[in-house]
Amino acid sequence: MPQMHVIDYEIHGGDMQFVEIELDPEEAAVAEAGGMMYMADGIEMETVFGDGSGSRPGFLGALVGAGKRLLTGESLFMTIFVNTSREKKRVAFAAPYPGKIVPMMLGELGGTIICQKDAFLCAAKGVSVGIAFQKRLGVGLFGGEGFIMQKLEGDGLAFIHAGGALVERTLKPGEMIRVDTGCIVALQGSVNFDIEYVGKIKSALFGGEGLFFAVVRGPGRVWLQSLPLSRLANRIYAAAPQRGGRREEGSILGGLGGLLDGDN
Amino acid sequence: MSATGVGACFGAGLPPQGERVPFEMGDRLILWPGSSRERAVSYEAIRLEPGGFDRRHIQLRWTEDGAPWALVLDDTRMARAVRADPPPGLSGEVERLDAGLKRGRLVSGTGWSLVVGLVLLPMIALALLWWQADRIVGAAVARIPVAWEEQLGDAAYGQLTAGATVIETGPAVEAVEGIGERLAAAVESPYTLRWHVVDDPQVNAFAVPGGHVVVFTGLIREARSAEEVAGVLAHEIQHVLLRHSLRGLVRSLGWRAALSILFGDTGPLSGVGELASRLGTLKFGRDQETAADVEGLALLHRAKIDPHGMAAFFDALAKQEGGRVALLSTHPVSAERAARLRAEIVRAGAWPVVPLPYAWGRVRASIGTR
Repeated sequence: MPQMHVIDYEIHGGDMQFVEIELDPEEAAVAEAGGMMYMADGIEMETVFGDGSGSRPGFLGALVGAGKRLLTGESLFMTIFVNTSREKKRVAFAAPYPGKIVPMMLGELGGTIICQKDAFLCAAKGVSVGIAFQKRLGVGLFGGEGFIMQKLEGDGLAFIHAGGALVERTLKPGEMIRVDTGCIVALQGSVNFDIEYVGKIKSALFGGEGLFFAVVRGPGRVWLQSLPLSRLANRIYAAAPQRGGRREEGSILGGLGGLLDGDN
Repeated sequence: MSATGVGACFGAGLPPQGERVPFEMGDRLILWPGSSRERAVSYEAIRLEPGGFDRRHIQLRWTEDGAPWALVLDDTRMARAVRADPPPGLSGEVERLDAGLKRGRLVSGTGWSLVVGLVLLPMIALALLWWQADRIVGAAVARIPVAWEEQLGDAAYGQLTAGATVIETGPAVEAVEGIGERLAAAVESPYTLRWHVVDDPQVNAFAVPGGHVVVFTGLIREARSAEEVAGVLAHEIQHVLLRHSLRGLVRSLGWRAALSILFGDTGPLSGVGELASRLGTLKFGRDQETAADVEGLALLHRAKIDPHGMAAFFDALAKQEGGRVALLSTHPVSAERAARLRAEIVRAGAWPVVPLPYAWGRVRASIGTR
C-alpha cells in the first residue's frame, strides 16, 4: 500500500454511532466537512479543496475534483486530520442520523466502492472520493438516488454510514435482487446497477412503492439500509405541527389537553 | 494471440468479495484463482455481459459444476482491449456485447437529447417570440376594433384624470380645442379626437388610445406661441393614429401571458381597470417617438401650420433638460429631435401657412401662474 494510511478504529454506540479513529504519528484521515465530533490535542485540522487524495495533481485537478463534489451536493471542501504529535492520537467522527457505521477495507473489496451520495463519513488519507453517475436514460430519470453516487477508490479503510439497520448481501455471479432506490448504501465496484419498471400501474398508484426499483446484479457485495434519511424526513415532516400533523398521540382534549399536560 | 491480465474472479471456494487473479486468453481462458490451482475454461461456455456501476467493465460469466463463476475485467483499458481484439472463440460474444451496448447508447442518446430539448423548448419559443415580436404585435393590434379601443381609452382617461383638475372653459381650452379641430380636419381618422386641458405644472401632454389628448397647463405656460402647442398636439395625435399605446399594451400583455404560460404563474394577470391605469405609464419606444414626430410634421403640413413652432418647442425643452420636464423623461433627447425635425422641415420645403388666430399672451395669462 504505497500511499494509504493504515488506521485503527473503534465504533461506539448502538443506533447513533460514532467512530473513533486512532492515528499514528504523521497519519491522516480525510472526512466530509462537518463530520468531526472531537479530536485529541496534537491532531491538526486542514481544509482542502477537493478530496485531498492527491490523485489528480495541481490546481486544475483539485478544481475538477471539487466540481464533481458539487454535483453530488457535497461541500466543496474536505477536511484532513493529521496527527502531528509523536504518539498515537484519536479523532472521532459521528454519524449525522440514526443508523450504522460500516467500515470497509477498500483493498479487499476490489479497490472501488460506489456509495449513496451522503453516505461517506471518513476515510484514510489517500482514498479518493469522486462521483459515479449513470449515463443511461432510465436510471437518470427514474433512478432517484441511484443517478449520481459517490465513488471511493483506493486500498485503505473507509467508513460509510447507513440509515436504520444495515444488511450486507453477497451476490453470486448473475444473482440479482430488487431494491428500493433509496435503500442502497453501497455497492462493490463489480456489481451491476440498473432500473426496472414495476410494470403494474395499480401497485404503483396504491402500493405505496415507487414506479421503479433498482436492480443490482452480482457478482459482489451490496450494503442496504432499512431507513433512508429521506423516508425518515418525510415522516417527520408530515407529522410536524406546522404541516397540520398532530403533536399528540390522539387526545380528545386537543389544544386544551396541550395546555394541561404541562410539558409546553 | 494470447492476452494476459488481472481481473476480479468470483466463484465457488473464492472469497465472496472476489479475488484478483491473473488470467491468460489463449485457445482457452486460463486463470489461476487461489494459490496455485489452474483453471481452464473453453470459450463456448462463456457469456459476456457489461458490468459495474456504469457498465464500463466486462463480465465473463460461466457455470462450472452448477456454480456460477465470473471474471470481471474492471480495468477499462483492458476491457476495451479485449473488445477491440478478442480471442477467436470469443468474437461472437464480443459482437453481441457491442451490439447491445451500442443499442443502449443509441436509446440513451436519443432519450437524453429529447429531455434536453424539452427543457430548452420554452427558451427557444421565447427567443422566437422576441425575434418576431413586432410582427405578432402588429397582427394582433390590427384585429382590435376601434370601438374596443375607445372604451378602453375612456376608462383610462377617467382614471388618469381622476385626481386632477380638468379645466372646462376659458381661453386656454378654446385655444387647445381650436388647434385640435384644425389638425383633426386634416386627417382621416376612425377616432373621435377629444381635447382636454388639465391644471398641472408639469410640461407635459399625452395621448390615450381612442382619441383623448390631454395637455397640461404647464406646457401651455411654457409654449411661446400657438404653433408650438400645435406641434406637440400633432405629435400626440400620431400616437393615437398609429395605435402606439395599444401596441405597447398588447406587447406587455403578450409577454406576461407568454411568460406565465412558459414559466408558470408570474402573478395574477391584472384586470382591465389596472390595464387602463397602466396605459398612462406605458413608455413609447424611440422608434415610435420618431415616427410620431415625422408623421406629426406631415400633419402640420396638411393643416397648413408653421412647423418651426414644433422645432422651437423642442429647442426650448432641450435647453432646460433635466428640469421638471416630464415630457423628456420618456422621449428621446430633445436637442437631437429638434435637429432631426429641422432637417425634415428643410427637406419638405416651405409650405403655405395660415397662422393660428390666438393671442398666445392672453391664453397664457388666462391660466394664471403657478
